[in-house]
Amino acid sequence: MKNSPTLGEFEQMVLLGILRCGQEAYGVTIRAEIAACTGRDPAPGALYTTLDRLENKGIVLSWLGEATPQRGGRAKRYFALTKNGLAALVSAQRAYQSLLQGLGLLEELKLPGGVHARTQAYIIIC
Amino acid sequence: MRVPKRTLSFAEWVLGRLTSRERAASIVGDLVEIGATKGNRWLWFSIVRVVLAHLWRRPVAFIAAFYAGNRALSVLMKVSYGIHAQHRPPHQFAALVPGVYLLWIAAVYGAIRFGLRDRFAQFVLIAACVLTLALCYWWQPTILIACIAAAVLILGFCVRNRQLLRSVIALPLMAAVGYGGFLLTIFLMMRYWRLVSPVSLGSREFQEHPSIIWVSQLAWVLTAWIMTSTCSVAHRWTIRTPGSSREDADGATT
Repeated sequence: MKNSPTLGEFEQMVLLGILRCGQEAYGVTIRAEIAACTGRDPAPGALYTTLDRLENKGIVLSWLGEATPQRGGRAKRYFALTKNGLAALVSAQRAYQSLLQGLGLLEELKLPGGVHARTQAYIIIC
Repeated sequence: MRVPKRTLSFAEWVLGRLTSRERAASIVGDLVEIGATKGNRWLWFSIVRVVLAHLWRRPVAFIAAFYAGNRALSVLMKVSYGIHAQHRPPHQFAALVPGVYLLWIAAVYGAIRFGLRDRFAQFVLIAACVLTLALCYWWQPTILIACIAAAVLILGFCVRNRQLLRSVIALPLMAAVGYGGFLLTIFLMMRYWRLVSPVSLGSREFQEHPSIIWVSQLAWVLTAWIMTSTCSVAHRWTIRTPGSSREDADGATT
């Protein structure tokens, strides 16, 4: 067993969202990034409980930033991945990549004018 | 959008009961920021959803753990000491019965509260299963040996993972605190019984003093509460990561 903790699908989305936001990763931007990339608006409850859980597990860490008037004078809470969190994310993503390898799903879907016959068959079966 | 400051402070206070004050303030701040474009109704709906998301696991986990513990105890008592019990365990094994009862409380609580992916929850659940199996089939050498072998293998496996290793250390401590709480509540319950009715309890005494039943129920709830609280503390300790700092995060993300 690897030492990195196992991550759920939404946890991975949140971690990738944090990475994509970089230095500006706080609740609003993480949520917007996930919504923009996946087309799904994450439930606020799910997002904050996931962030709390990830922080308790030492996968992310947070610090308070500046308070702005449009937030009612409340401070932003910025998030970043720890080394442990990054290792867990890489490990989880590597597993996905291994499973995808040889299927050519991502490349085929990028082709103009439709998808490869094998992908079509796959979609029909599903 | 204008939301009265007092009502937002109230929302922050409610959230502050479920998480830290800083986290509550930043969550409300985030929702206010998004709510500026989405409207008041969205803001309040989101606050309610965040509160519910923080709230549901603890009571649901506690209730499920309470019933799971009671169920495990009644099954064990029936199998081991019931009138149809064919293989009554020796006295050395009898001491394990409350241990298994407490372990099932912790296992179900952990599985719901922290999720099945959590290493601590997984470990406690497996320990509860192995111990229950050993206690129910102590008279079958094959199963007993298989349980002991499984326990040794699990322990060997746990040494390789920091959280699991901490779980191995936390489990006996948690069981000891839970056992102490169990004995204390039983002692208090008995004291109350004697106070209310100095003679041995019969159906007449129960009818005359219905509070005996309530106090007994309260004692079981108290035991479950002590065990679940200990489980939460033990879990917090097992997941604590030393040396997580801002610099560490900067190093990881850049």
